[in-house]
Amino acid sequence: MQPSNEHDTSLERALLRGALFEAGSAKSEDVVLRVAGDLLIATGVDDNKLRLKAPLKDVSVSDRIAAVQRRVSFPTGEVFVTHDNDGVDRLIGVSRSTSMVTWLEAASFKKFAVLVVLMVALIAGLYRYGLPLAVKTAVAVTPVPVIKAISEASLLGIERQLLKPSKLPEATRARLRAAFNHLVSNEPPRDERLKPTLRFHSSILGPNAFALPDGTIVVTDELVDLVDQDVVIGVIGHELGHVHHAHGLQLLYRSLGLVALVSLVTGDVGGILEEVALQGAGILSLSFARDHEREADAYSVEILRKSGFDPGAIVPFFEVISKFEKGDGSSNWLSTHPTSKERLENLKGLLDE
Amino acid sequence: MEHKVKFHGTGKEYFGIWIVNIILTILTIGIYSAWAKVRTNRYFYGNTYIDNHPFEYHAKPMQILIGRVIVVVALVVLNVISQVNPFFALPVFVIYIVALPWLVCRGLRFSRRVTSYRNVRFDFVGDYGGAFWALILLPLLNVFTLFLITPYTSRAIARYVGNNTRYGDRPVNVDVPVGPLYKVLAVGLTLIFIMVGFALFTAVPFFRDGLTPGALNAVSVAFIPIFMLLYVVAIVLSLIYGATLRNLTFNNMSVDAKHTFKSTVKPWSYVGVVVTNFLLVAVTLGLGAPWARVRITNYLADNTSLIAAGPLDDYTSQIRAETGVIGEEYMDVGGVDIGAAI
Repeated sequence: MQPSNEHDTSLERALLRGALFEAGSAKSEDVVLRVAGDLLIATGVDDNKLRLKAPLKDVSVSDRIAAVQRRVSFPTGEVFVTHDNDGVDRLIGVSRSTSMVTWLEAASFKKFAVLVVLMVALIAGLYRYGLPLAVKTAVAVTPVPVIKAISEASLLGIERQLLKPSKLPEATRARLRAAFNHLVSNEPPRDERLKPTLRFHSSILGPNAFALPDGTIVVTDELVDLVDQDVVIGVIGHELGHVHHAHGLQLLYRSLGLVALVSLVTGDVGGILEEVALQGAGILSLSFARDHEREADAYSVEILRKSGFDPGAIVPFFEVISKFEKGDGSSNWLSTHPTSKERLENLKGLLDE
Repeated sequence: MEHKVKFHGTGKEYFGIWIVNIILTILTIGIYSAWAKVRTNRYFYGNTYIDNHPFEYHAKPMQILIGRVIVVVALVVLNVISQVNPFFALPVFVIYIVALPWLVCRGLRFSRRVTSYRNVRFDFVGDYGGAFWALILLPLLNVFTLFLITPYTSRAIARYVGNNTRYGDRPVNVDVPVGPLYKVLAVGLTLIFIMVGFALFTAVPFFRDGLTPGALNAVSVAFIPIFMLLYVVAIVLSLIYGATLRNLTFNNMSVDAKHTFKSTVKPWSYVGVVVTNFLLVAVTLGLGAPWARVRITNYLADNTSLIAAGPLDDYTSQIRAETGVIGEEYMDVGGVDIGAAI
């Protein structure tokens, strides 16, 4: 430590002026604090008489934070306070980690610029690498009973509100089920308990199909009525792709991870901005949902080819639904699915291979 | 003798603390957040002066960390349980309702006991029943009366928080008149009523062909601007209500039955500070948050003073055992804001 000015003699540097409070009392008195050997001694400013002394090792000193008043607590309950932060550091000393933090915090715009860059890099790195790694790990360690429980619970919720018993002819169902079993037999599940199962339901969702993390795949009557059975098999292949890649769990963990990440960073900002950051992160997540759709499309081609079906069976499905889509055929950043036009182009690329 | 509350913090100083807090918190996967919290609180308390004496914050980072870990683990477990099986959602909700008053009461006790002014600690002596009445029963009743008893709810919370606070062993007394709050509420509800009425009126032509999904869709798109406007109006109203409540709370508060307070916040200029702060933070992508926080703290300090009716050094701390930190950490981590001005 350097003396702060020319008049700073070594004697003055060893003295500390401040106020001494009696234990638990609001009454204070101006005193001078100095170190003599391994003792800390307080004397009155006015009369220079001894007020208090204690072994240096028994007093505790609060950490330095900007210009906030420092607090030296004596074992007998008295408290010495002062704004002379440098004086306290000189007299009593500071630990290295504390002085490091204080140095970092101390204002200088050059240092702040470096810290801002560091912070942005950390957040970007955590988002780009930390989050996917955490999601992957979480998916891998999720026990099968938990996957089952999550799936059953969400199916229960959907079933009550949106699904009704299927009215499809038994023969149609049997044929699709046979194709389904054939597809599944060509791709062993990662756990016997997660073997995919097929269900048919009539639903107000219209022509649709969806998959749950435990391999339950639901196909609506409306879909089967709308397109040829070959196409339905293509769509089932797509849903099996979601199951195979554990897309449902990935999205679940991703959204949990994002909440954790945002609150880690904005813990000091809070309120409405945290909300804004979360919404922003949610929108970024949609690009992952779109990637999942592309992955599932590719899986459909692969598994149908492996099983000896027409690999492009799903193609007419997108030709049908593209008629319902408006716009210029490109997906935007608020879409959960890529547009059919995009998906058709991707599929053509895969089928040409 | 009037002592203005003074805040000596600066945006530049706090920015250094803030950004180091964020970086170290990320690097330690959250562990440093306990130290970060203590440093932030010590900075803001320690820069708030009355009569040349600052407030002090005494919580230890380690105790905050332990409380934080317990609370985070408990919240995650409870959330996962109610997510995994909807049948557990109700019991978990009941657990929250039963535990909330206890957590708030313990939380207030902790944060009061680690705060001091002139070496004298604050304390909180509120009990479970009081918290249950002010934070669960009255708000529930408020919902059933279409929010018409909101001022009484605010008053109950102010009384619970204020009247159970001690400075040393001396009492704090608070009461809040509901009249001025009802004025704000009346204007606000009328405004919202007119807006909703207007919205419904304009919605009628959409439903000429009945409640078709197409019409519902068209209405929800057409109403996006109206919903956004309603949202903004609701935020501004809550700020004005909050500023009014703050003035009423301070202007009707005393310590030791003799020292009183004065709060001169002008609701609309308070709205101005909060809104420009929001813009500042948004435009700087969050980097302006430290300046925003210092600015609002400065504004509130400038509008607050203590009117001392006698010496301020005539007080002594009550020696009390340390108290658990879990309630306080729940309020912090869970973002529980009970809306008390003090």
